Amino acid sequence: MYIHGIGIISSVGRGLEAHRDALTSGSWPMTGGGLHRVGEKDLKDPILAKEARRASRFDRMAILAGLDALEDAGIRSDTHLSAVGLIIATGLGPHVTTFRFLDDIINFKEKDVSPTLFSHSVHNAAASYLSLLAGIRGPTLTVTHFSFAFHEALNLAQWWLEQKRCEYVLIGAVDELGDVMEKILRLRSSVDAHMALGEGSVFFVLSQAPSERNDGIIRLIQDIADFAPFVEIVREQLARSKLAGCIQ
Amino acid sequence: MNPVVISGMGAICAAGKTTGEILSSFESCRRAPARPTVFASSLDFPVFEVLKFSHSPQIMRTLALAYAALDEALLAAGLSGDLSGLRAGVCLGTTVASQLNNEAWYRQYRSQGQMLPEPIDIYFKGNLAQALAVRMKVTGPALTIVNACSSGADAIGVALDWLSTDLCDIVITGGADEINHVPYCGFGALSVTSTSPCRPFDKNRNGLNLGEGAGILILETETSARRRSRKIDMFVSGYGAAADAYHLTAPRPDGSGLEAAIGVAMAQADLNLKDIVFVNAHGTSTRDNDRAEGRALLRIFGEDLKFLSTKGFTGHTLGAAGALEAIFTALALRHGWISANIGFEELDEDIGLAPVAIKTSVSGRSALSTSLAFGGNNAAVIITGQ
Repeated sequence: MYIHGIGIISSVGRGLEAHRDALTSGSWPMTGGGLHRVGEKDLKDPILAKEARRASRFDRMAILAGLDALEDAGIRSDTHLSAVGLIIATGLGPHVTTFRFLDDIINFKEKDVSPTLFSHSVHNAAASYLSLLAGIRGPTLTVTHFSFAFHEALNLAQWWLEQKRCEYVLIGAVDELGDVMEKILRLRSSVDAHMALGEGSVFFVLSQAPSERNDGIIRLIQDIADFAPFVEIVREQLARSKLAGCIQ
Repeated sequence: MNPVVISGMGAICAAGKTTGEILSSFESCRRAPARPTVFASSLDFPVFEVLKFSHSPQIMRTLALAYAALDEALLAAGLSGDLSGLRAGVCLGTTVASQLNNEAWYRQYRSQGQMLPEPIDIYFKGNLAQALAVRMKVTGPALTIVNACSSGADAIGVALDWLSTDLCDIVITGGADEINHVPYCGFGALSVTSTSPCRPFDKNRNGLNLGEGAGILILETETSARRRSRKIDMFVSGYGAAADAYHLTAPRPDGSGLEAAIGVAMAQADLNLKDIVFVNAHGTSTRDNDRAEGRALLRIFGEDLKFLSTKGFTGHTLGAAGALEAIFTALALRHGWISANIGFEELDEDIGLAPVAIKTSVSGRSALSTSLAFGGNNAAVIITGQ
């Protein structure tokens, strides 16, 4: 599969330049509290103002990285709409909004909870926004796996392209880090107390045809690893996942 | 495309705890939506709950429902609970099980600052595909689809791709979801739930009823099924999906996304429109869904189409719906009848197409199951008999 475009947003900023600089300098500073959180300024863009003004932080990370990847690939809204498919992979989904909706249920009467919070708490809200803003009319999936969501999604993208379900696949991974989830992950034995947790989003535009870009760089995903070793690791993680005690 | 055989099916929902029980409910037009018993609520929206269903408190209810359907499907497929050594995969759809929405746990955390570990552990062991892969010793791909209401249908589509491209010989697929207080409040807030039993496609429909359940299909290549000497009478012959790119919660009014999904599925199955003997529609009983879907079906298939929604028997089971309805489609082809579209009384002129009002005979080889999702995805699955 050939990579036609990339979009990325993380704690070092939005776009390939920011990440190239960070990788080149070896500097990937933390954003406070030992975390790699995406800065609020990087989540602002005029394109969000109208159609996606209610989008959650999770959605915004996905939307901006996804649209950047399409732009990087030179795919415009006049591209044959059904030619583009979309797959979004996530481990935990928009959990911050899920907890906010639970806050609503606890704080207010059942009949007074926010429909907006509920509709944004579902995992595929980000895909919905992205397909709406980019005009994507091909197959659209959101998938989840706690360990290998992106790898599984990448495999699926390969089958979609081979089956001619679409000409391009916009595929991405997104996860956010909220305060409650940070506590949860610290509580789980699989996350070391000193491990730096982060959030962000990265998208690729993939196709079976090579990119026509004439910059001398070949962008290619040559192979996706076998699943069997992964499953063994997951089994091990699940076996170890009994949590000991609780935290304040 | 390599033929993909349905070698086993299992289902559980408010209409019954096995496919046989469900068919019996369909035949006798039994349904009994009622107030939820799994949580207390001041709201007055009836639900289709699986009653007298007990499970270990160490697993999510959604996962327990999936296991119940899995046991029936494995038995029908002649498989043991250990698929190690086979080129097998798992692809399942859900919505509720993907979220850490344990309200009691969260209340305690908020009020006391104490984060009890057990509910977290249950959540992290509850990713449907991962959990079933571990249980079944599956070493191939494992993927959970979280595409809202089309998740179950999309999972079948992914399984079809895995099998037809020779990634796997056998795939456990389908979907599961539970009645939960969070979507109960959420759908209520969106003003799409009804205080009375739902009436899909009826002129006076006024919303959906939530339901719960699981539908599991064991799909395998024809080569694998023949090698295992299994009876071959039903195939998944086509799948299509297309996005509306229209709105976060409302379907595109012209149904063009659904039409595109059906077109892709028909092309993959290499069928003509006249080959489709009936459609098991999504039919949630909301004003918007049924109008968009009904108009699209009329435009595509014409006014002689036999179609129904089974949500009058099951409620809207969210991530399980597409899988359950694909199973109901296969059972109808096998047995030669479709149930009444229970709840329907009066034609909606705005749709211009009426579902079957009574149990109806069907004869032919292929039928279609459609799903429309919150978020704008549309999915179509075609089942073909031998």
